[in-house]
Amino acid sequence: MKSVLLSVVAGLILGALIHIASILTIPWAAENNAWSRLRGLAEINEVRRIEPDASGKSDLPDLDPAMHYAVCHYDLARGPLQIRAPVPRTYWSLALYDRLGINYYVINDRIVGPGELEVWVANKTQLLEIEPEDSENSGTSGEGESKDRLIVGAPRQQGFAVFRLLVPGASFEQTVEQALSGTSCATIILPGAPGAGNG
Amino acid sequence: MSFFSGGVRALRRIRADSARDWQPWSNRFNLAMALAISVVAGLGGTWFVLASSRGIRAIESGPWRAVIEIGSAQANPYARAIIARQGSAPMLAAELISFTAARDSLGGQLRSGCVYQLRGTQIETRLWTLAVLDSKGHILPADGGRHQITSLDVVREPDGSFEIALAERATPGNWLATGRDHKLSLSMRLYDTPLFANGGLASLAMPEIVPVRCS
Repeated sequence: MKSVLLSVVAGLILGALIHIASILTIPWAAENNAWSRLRGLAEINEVRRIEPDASGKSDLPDLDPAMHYAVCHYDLARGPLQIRAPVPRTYWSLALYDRLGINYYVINDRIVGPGELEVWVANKTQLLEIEPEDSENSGTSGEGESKDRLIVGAPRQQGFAVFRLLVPGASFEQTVEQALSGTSCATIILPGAPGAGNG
Repeated sequence: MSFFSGGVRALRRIRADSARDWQPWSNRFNLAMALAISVVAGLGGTWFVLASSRGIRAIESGPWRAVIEIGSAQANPYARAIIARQGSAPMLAAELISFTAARDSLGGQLRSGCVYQLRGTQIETRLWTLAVLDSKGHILPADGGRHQITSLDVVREPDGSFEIALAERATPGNWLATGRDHKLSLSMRLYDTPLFANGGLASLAMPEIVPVRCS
């Protein structure tokens, strides 16, 4: 009987290890996570509208029917990402996610105010190249503010941006349309980067 | 790996030898039992966490529940696995706290045939949105009725409180349509709320969902 008890305990310990290993593997192995879904929908840097749809056929789950959404996915291996977006006079937010779906940065219209917004998303190396003079603080906090644009440090090379925009009423449809159609994601070719200057 | 293949070999041998010399308390039996327990407990536990969204920080107010820190850099491995499985992109709690309720304040399952009265007080947030969804959290098919309302267009009492009727047919005042033949859930999202930062979540009073009658 002692050996039976021992094997039960051994089984539970091994089970705990299997549990931990499987939980840690899922974010990397999941083929249906937000990043993979968005990658299948559009080209890299392509801004795409997504809307809540009945019966779960939306491109992303848990969308708020009161909001309009646009997304783009990026890969910093090619260079930093430049986001330009007209910020409307209604609730608007830009949320940046890494490829595992972690929301590492978010900003809304109340913070930036209405107008044209430019956000650069860069990895650690690129942060140093963008602003050599600010390198001492941009490297650690991963976020710095310059006059015309926000510079955000990304934790991983790949990820995606989600723009959320409230439509307060039918009369705002045009505002929403303008804001979303004016939104762009683009790769910046830094001077001195491999491949720069020979185009 | 050799441990596992050893286990598989042991299992095969058990099957082959079982007729001849089945020894219930032999080492092989114990090894097979340990492996079976480990797989069932390990993967079963993983399945349970993913299916039930347990293991992540949540706040509750009456029938309402919101998971927080699920999509943040502070998210624990359970939260990361859950969002990977769902394919969702939750925002930081400072920007969005998303509450859902599948039951009324007396504990009954929300459904289309019933009339409910939502009674809410002023909520400390810049913007909230409220939507009637099916029990899986999907939006209801368009049927001419209104399934969502926001803090911008809700009609309030002078003290900031509000009531919203949930019913199949339109009623005077704030009204949301419940559609036909659905099990329902409600989603109430608080955008740009200071509640997470200022510790107000603990005392947050979400609207009561009072069942009025069922047909």
